[in-house]
Amino acid sequence: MTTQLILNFDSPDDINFNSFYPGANEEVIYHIKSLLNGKGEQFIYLWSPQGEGKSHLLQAACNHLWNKGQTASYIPLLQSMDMAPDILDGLENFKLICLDDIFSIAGKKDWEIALFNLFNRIKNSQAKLIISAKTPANQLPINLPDLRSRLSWGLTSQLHALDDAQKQAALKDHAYHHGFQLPDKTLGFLMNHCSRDNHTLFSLIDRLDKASMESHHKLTIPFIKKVLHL
Amino acid sequence: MPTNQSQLWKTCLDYLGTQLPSGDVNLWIKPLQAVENSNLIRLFAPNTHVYKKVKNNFFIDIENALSELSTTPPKFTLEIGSIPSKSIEVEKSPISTTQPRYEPITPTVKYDNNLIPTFTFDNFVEGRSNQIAKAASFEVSNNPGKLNNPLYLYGGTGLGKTHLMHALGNKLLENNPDFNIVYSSSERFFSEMVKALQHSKIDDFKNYYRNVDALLIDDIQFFAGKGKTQLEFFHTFETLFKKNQQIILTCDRYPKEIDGLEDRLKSRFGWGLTIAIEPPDLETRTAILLNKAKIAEIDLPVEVAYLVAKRLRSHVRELEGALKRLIAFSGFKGVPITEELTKEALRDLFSIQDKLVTVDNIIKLVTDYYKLKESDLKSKKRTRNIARPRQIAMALSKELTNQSLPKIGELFGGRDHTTVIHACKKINELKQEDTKLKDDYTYLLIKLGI
Repeated sequence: MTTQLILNFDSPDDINFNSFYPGANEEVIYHIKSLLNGKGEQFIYLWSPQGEGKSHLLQAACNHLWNKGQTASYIPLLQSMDMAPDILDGLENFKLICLDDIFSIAGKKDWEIALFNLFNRIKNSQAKLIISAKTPANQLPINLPDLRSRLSWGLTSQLHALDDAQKQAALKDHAYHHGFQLPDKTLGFLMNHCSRDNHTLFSLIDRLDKASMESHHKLTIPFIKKVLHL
Repeated sequence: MPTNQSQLWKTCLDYLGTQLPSGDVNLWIKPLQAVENSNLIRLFAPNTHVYKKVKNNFFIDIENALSELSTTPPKFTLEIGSIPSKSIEVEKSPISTTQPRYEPITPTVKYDNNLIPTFTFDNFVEGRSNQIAKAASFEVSNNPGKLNNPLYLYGGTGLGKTHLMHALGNKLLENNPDFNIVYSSSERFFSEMVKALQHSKIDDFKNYYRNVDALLIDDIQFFAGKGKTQLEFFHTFETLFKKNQQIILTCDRYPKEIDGLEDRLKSRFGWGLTIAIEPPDLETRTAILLNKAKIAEIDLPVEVAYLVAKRLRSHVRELEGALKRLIAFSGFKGVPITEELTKEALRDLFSIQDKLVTVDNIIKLVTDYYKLKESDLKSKKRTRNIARPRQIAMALSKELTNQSLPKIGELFGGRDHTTVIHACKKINELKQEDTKLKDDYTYLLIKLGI
């Protein structure tokens, strides 16, 4: 059988608030949208364990402004560690700055000072700031007390994990938006045999979708076993 | 008229999104601000870092995209800066040399005081911990350049130093509308000086700072280790001081304790009035919350303010953060703020605080600090070198945890709760008369994150 080439239709524009399954996180989304429309806080500190959708929400916030022709900057700090902290210079002139995974810069003196300085410049500007982290601010191993205290200044919001039923609903939604159906049996199999964090599950669905399109095969359990080597 | 984010640029972004990895587009290209003017698109990078990256890695992609999308592709330039501010063009057809954004200071330049008008004496909540600092700041605002020069305010982060400094500056301006007042963070002073040096404008820089009527520098501990900045600030200080122009400084510690700062600066910082701001007590914390709620036009019951103030003891920013969370939660649910709602909204914050400060943590910290064994603190020994740290640990446990006194006594080797009461009373008395003990106690509070 020939393998069909798949065009990459994944667009960053797919990352928006509608493609985020809220579960018990309606409140968090409400606060981020309030921040974006100028009625909420200037700074939101968003935390949750890894894989709950923080990066999605930060990118959705930036996309929201980019689509309106406004200025925003999304910086994934973990992937930015090989850069100099001067990447934060001048960001206070933006409408929105999203710093993803502040844990990555904890304990790095130059970055901590650069972020502290950015905080002070933002405080005197109209810019909004969203920072994500995997722990609450006072559990971050930040050495600079001035930065640590500023992190607890804004609105702290926790992103709550989806329960299994919500995850299944979210995965079905995701599949629907990508133009295919995810049978309950298939879903149940994945939930019982794979790591159930959101990041893994959504990646698996995308991988299975791609494999299914390439081989023109339905997402049956035997097919999944074969693709995932289970 | 230029239009922000021209339609062509928007289309170009969409196109680049299909050609380049989305991470690159999001990180480097979307943050560029664009202005279209006739047949020219001016792109602004927020900083040198983004500028260099785009110039070196994506310039051709942008050029190709514009050629692809337009029959008569516009010329485009890449510059450092942003649309609202005056930015200096650094690249022309297609790229020329870089010039950072330093705007030269001329003798006729208008001073930009950088003061935040909302920080006033009226909305600064006074308590035992900060009343001297407030009184001194008020005095300086009425009599600048006199006895209290420089005014040096120091204390931990988030205790209101910056608020007080702005309040002083605002009052000074109100009393003397013609005064040239400059508030600057130490970072701003440093970065402006570096830019001035780079562009041979150091004389303008000196003229600017040495001709103010009042100079307010925040967080001067960040001058540590910056030799040239210290030298320049030393001469600025000398000039202003000789002309009786007021200097106000804040720092996180006493002048002599700033590592990496020249001795002559340390001594000069102590020439005027040096005042500490202590962490706020329970009453002040409660008043701060009520005051902030009033400013936000929120009805905050006193018992709720008391509950929050009792649980969160570290710094004012944490209190503000908690209040914001409370207001946001109540707003989202559409219900008034009550004690029950507060416990629900701040459950995570409260539980973290409880987790951070336990009697066990306190015992460990105190024994480490006094170089004792935990078994000593729990033993029956009553020699001074053991009994005093034990009393300090008991007092800290009563102040910082919600454990009952019998439970605290039990955790200290099965002692009676009256022993705990006696220890707390003793330590409170000693804090009034024994500076060393008071400093030890404050240090331990800070180490516990309070």
